[in-house]
Amino acid sequence: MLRATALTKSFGSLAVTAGVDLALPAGERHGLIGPNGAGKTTLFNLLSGELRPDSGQVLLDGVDVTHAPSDVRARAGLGRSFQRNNLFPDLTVRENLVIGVAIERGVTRVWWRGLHRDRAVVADAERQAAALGLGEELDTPVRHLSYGTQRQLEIGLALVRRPKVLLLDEPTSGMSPEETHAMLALIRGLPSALTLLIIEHDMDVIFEVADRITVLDYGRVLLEGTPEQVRASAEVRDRYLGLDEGLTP
Amino acid sequence: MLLDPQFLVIQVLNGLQLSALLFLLAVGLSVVFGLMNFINLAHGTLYMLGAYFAVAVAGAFDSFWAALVLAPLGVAVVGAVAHVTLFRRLQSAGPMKQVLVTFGLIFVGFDVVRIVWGRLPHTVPTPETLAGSVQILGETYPTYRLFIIGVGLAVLVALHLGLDRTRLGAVVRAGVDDRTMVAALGINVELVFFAVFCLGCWLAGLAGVVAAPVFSVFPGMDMSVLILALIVVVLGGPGSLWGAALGALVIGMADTFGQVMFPAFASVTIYALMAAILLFKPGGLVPVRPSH
Amino acid sequence: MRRDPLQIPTVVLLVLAMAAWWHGADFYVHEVLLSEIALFAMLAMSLDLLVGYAGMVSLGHAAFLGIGAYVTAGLTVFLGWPVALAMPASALVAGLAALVVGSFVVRLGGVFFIMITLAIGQMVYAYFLKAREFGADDGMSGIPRLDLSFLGLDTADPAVFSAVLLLAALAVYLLLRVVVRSPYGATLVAIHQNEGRVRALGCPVHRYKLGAYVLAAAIAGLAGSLTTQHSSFVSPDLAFWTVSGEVLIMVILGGGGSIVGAAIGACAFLVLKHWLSAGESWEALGLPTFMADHWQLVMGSLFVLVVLVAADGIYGRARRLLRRDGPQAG
Repeated sequence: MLRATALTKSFGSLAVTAGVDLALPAGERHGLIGPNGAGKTTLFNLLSGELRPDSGQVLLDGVDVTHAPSDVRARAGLGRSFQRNNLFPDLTVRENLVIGVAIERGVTRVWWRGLHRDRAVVADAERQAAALGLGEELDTPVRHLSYGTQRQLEIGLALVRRPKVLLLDEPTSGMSPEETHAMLALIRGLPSALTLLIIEHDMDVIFEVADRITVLDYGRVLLEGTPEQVRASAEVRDRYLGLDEGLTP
Repeated sequence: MLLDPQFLVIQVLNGLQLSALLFLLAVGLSVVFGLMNFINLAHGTLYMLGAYFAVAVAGAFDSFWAALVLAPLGVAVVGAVAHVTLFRRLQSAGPMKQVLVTFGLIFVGFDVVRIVWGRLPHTVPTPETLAGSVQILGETYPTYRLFIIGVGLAVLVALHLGLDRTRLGAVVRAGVDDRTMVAALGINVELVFFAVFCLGCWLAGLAGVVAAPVFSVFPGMDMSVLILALIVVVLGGPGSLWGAALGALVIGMADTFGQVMFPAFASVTIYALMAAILLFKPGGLVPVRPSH
Repeated sequence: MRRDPLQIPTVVLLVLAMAAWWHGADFYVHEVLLSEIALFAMLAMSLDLLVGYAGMVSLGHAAFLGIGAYVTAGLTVFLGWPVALAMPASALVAGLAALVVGSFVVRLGGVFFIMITLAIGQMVYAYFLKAREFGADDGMSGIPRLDLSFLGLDTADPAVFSAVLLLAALAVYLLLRVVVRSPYGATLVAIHQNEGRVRALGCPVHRYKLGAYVLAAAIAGLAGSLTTQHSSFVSPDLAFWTVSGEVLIMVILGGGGSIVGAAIGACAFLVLKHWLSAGESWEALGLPTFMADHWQLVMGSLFVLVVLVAADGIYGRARRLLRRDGPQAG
């Protein structure tokens, strides 16, 4: 469903992504871990089209999207959330989701009648807000929301298009244990046909969610395998897990 | 006509002279833009003020050299006051507001010089030592215009050495590369930016002074030169000393030869060049930061 | 997208005020003040679509005013077209010019956009300044006004023509209100707030920004056509950067992002400008009358002040005061 071959990206003389291969069959839950600066978010940006690779290829559902900008990839079925909340801060929760739904339904080209006339769009946005547990906050401007709630909306926006492939960049970062729990439930509840690639520092979350895990280090793939294989790998333990308190086997 | 060597030499010298002036103007704009992502649209106004201060000082002391020393300093003081009272207060509000404020200052500056010096053009006499002319390939060329080229070159060399050899220069280079890193090193970034801004204002004033004996000094002389300087900044790439020099050379030559050879299209060509650069090489000819 | 309870009362009040002013106006007010207000309000409202909604701060809007003016001048004077045909042609050509220019410039953000639009505006000015076929720096004269004799109206009458201009401004307002309240308008606001996210949601943002740029330019082109009919004259000065600057000042002064604010800004700016350029006003203040020649100083300072302390402008400030007292606080 999502395949990357020999992806390379350098900033100046620094190779942030160096020949990364990745292959996710449909429906796979795939974890992406690695120390800070391993190039995880850069890899996401290459996959979603925020950045163009220096070389290599990105295939989405068999289609070469290497040179397609992010909006084209989104329409082709790729959704993503961002490491740092990337919302419309002055708009309300409802308005944030309405924008997402309106883009998804292609009604944003409509300039000749009021947005409020598109009741179906608004209703859909409200339904999605309720599904995210944001039904109480519909009229709150996003910048007034708590960080954890913003985080939920961040994932909610990524889900608006009902993507085939979803990239989640540290969905639980900065969340309280309860919020993390709720987020885990949300991720577990995603449709089974969805292909998921998730960056996460919380190893409990990763080992709980992922079918397979790729370990990234200095822009290269250090290891790719099942959670058990990753857990058992001495190299990964040395390079990463051993340094991170997140590991609780 | 093009192949006539005398014509060519004279036009090249004229082009170099314009390039030198544009360099003096653009380098300050460019480095400030590179450091603070802030473009001072009133930079041309500072150039105009430099010329008017030269009128005043040269009149009072009957000496061009006094003007050359005092007028740029006066402009730097004006810039410093504007920075402290206006731009700094808007730092947190983002570059857009700062740019809008500098835009309002163009209107203010325009009317201030009209009130103080009137609407008629003024002139500054060429200093006696440079009033003569030299023979180049059998053509006479005013010595003073060579002096302008010399000032441009001297400033280029001085800035290059300053950036390369001094601590302030190292901080500025690092700051253009990555602001946050410099701040993390515990350096007073604000103070460095302020110093760079004032130096840029001083250079704009200097450009105004050296231009005054050649061009007439009038309200509105700021805008044509501002647009050219902005184009130089875009062309050279924000924050780059050599980019500003190269951009100034390209625009100075293109404008000079364009005006002589196809007057109707000269300015249009330059704007088209800027658009092309922005589109295809948005980091400029000498990009400082890696492009994304 | 946001509710704006002040919008409709403000517009009704503004329309009534203009109607009352028009009704009681003398020749000068019809010919100069009301006509200028209507023309600049059109320009300012169209620029507000870019500045206040799409977040594209253009310093070259007058370029399209100039293009529209020269198209009407050329078509009517050289080719003898009726004004009624030249007007849509002006809007069309200005829109097409914006389509070409815009496909380059909408990719640029923030400060770069300011710089390139300023340069493009000056490019258009420089072209008309040198263009012999359009009279170079002398411009052209003898441009006719729209013929409304089939309605029994004589547009040579300043009262009639100022009414035409005011109604045109009202039409522009209504059109722009429809646009900004639409899903398209909401998308522009979202692009302004977070362009990258809108793109990540699957929206080709450049095309949306280009659409706004073209629409704003077409309205400016129409305003240009009406301007040249109003003065029966056209000169390169219409495209000069100060005109773009004044329009931007009107938008900021009135308050961007509401359309009606831009119209208020145009009224306030022009009334103040006419007041400041009269010697008697300065005399009444006990200040030297030569200052009447220097209204730009006051305007420039006022603009700086507004940006410094009241960035949401007259209308934005009023709306905020209302909201603070009202039930929607918070």
